[in-house]
Amino acid sequence: MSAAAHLTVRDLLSLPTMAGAEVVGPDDCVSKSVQRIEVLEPDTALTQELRPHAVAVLCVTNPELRWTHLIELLVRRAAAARCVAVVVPRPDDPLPASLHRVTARLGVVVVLHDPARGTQALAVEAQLLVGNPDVVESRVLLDVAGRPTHQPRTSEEVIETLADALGGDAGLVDGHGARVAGEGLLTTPDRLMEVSTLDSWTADDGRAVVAMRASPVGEPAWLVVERDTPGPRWAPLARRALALVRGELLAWLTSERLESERRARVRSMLLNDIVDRPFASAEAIAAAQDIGWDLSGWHIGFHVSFTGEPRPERWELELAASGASTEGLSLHGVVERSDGWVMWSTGDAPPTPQALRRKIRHVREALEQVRGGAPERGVALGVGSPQRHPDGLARTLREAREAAVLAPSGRGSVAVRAVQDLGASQLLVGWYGSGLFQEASRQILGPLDDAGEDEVLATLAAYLERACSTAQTARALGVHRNTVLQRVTRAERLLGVSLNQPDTRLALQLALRARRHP
Amino acid sequence: MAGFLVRPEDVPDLARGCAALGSGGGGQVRGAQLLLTASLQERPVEVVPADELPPDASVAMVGAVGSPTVMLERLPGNDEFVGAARTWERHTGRTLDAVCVLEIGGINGLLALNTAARVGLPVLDADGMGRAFPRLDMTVLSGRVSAVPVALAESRGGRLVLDGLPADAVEDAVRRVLPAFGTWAAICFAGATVQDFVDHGVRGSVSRALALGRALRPTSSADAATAPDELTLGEPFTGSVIEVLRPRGQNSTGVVTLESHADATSTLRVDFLDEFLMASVNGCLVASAPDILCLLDERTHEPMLVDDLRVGQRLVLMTIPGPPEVVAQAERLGLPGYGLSAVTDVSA
Repeated sequence: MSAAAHLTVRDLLSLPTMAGAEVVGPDDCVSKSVQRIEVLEPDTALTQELRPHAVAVLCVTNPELRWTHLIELLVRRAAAARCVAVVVPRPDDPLPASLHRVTARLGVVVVLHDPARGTQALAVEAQLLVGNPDVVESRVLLDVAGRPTHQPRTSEEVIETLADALGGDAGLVDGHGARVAGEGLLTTPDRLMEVSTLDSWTADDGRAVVAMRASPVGEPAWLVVERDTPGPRWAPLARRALALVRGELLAWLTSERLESERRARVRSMLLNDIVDRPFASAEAIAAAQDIGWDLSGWHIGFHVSFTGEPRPERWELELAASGASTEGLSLHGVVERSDGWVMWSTGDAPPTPQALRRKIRHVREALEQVRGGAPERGVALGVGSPQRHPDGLARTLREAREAAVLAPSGRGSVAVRAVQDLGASQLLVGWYGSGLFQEASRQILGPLDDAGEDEVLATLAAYLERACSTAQTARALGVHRNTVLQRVTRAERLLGVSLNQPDTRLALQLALRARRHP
Repeated sequence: MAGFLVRPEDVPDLARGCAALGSGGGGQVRGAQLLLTASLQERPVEVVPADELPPDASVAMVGAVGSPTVMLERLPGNDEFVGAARTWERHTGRTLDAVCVLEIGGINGLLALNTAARVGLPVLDADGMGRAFPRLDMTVLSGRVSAVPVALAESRGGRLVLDGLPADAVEDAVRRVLPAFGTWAAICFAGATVQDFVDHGVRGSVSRALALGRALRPTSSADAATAPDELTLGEPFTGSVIEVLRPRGQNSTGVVTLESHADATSTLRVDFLDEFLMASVNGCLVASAPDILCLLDERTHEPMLVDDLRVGQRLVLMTIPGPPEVVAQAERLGLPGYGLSAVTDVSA
């Protein structure tokens, strides 16, 4: 079977000159095979012989405005000749009901194209597509490939070129479903997760989708193109077009990733300079200003630590920070430290208690999003008190870290603790960090560590944090109550203790808390 | 065919026939029907075949020109039409021996007979258009018989004579005068000899309208409209109006769409401006001007005007062949006369 035999009216509608065309007639008729194009002149439109399986294109350079009746007469002729469709410029007048009824009765579609695009050009393109579709498709691929220049194209330029050349919507979607470039995509990130290399499918709403996974290092990304109900030749063409730009986009993604890593490293070193020294140097303050950190205002520090697997990636935290920022809270930092991640907000004045609660809620909600991607992940969020100036930043971040230690974290939740709420328990923070306490903790919990009982340890910690409530622990860990009881019993047996003793419970809880403190 | 008298009892048939020949235009006949009935009750009017009068007898066309819509509010009377004829006589110094119908389609078909009854002259069994057309220069006599002098008259006594104008300027001149006359006026023009009307007019128009009106009389509610074969073309299409699109500006036609009662997927499309211009059934052209397209009420057989069309009406399309004298000038009086390309459809 020749290539032209597979060409349908939908393929013709994919032509650039058909952009904005309106189709009148039965839906199934646009899937009919097109074998030839008949070009009609107005004077001979009703007398010229038509051949079967043709699309009749009426060439009118200066369309007579009062001629919707002519369309119906053409449809009748086309039906008698077993033609597939009639292509005419869209008239200014509204289409009468008779045209819809006649096309439905006779099974011929009418394509009303934008008169501004010129019927002659359309007829030539259509003839070329029917006669030699490879030529037309090669042109599309050449457009996608672009002209060689000294400057590599940005992802936006590549995506825009793809969308134009393929007549649809195109975009680059990153691993957490955010659009990096392009617009108009309707495909959900969940569906993209299923694409391992290159895939094409038809969505429920009739949109054809072609997606290709492009993963330089770590975080995946997908290149996606979509188009409303195209012809059967579109998807294979789109696959080739995506393959054509894959290398270019991979290079772009890799360089973006490297740049992102470099910026993160700079931020980390700068924060160390500010936080870990008694006074921040003038150079550090100037460098901080350069990257948008205002150290002179009032800061509220946030310290986020994670338990469970998988460990979060930086982009997840950055996404959370930007998500929280859109809620009226600008978050700076997102710097990885040895025991978690830190970020902070800065304002001209210390926040009111209500404003502080609102900020904490926003950050917590954003972290819930991060955790949502990994249900086994536990998140502890510590919040420092409002502090001013660079040394205040160091102080609030330290407080946030201490509060995070005391936050009752467990798998499957975001636990929040603000330093203002610590009260007497703030005393414990210093103890947790002491070498003596750490050593005692290791000795007490040694039997469980030696036996590799990580699950038992986590269960025991959650059990003690929840006042020995089996039901609450089971709910927090997502396991059955009997499992909790069985693990607690196992811990008692391995440690040789009984949790009926209040002293034992206190000692074990303190030991488990100290483990979380590096 | 010998001459005949038109009496009051003939008026309903004549009015129905004139309305049918209006092809959806020509104005509402009801007012002129009452006027003519009253006039004929005083004196019947004689309709004479053109070739039965002396060839050199003096004849002019009489009718109304202007807005038929305003004519429904400012009703026509007798004085303006008699006044137009008398003004023409005074200006030319000639006495009319008979009057001729300007346009047999619509209200003008009756107004000329009413004028004849009032001035006591016979009416030629002929007219200038054979149907209804929107412009004065769309008569079959245009370019063959001089249109000027033109006498215009209105009901308050206003009279105006246009003379010396070239033929192609008459229509424009009259249209410019009409606002001052209240948007319509009685007109008497194109005076000539009977022989000129024998040679160039549409003959047999009045008797044709009368025969058509009689044929279209409603017999019972269940009857479809029928007319003698020699008066109609093709099969009538019966259906319900499902959409009416009115013309939008000068470069646009109106379209009425009907769904067939016999086959719900079958569609009639009729394009119109002032009159019905062409009809196609399922994309197949079945009739076009200068043939006369007549949409009749299915029950009463009353011909519809383009302004009467409403969604839900049950109508019958009947095509009446255009008079041969008009068809012979189809290049001027067919679709091109309305600014549309002539359609030669080979799909049928």
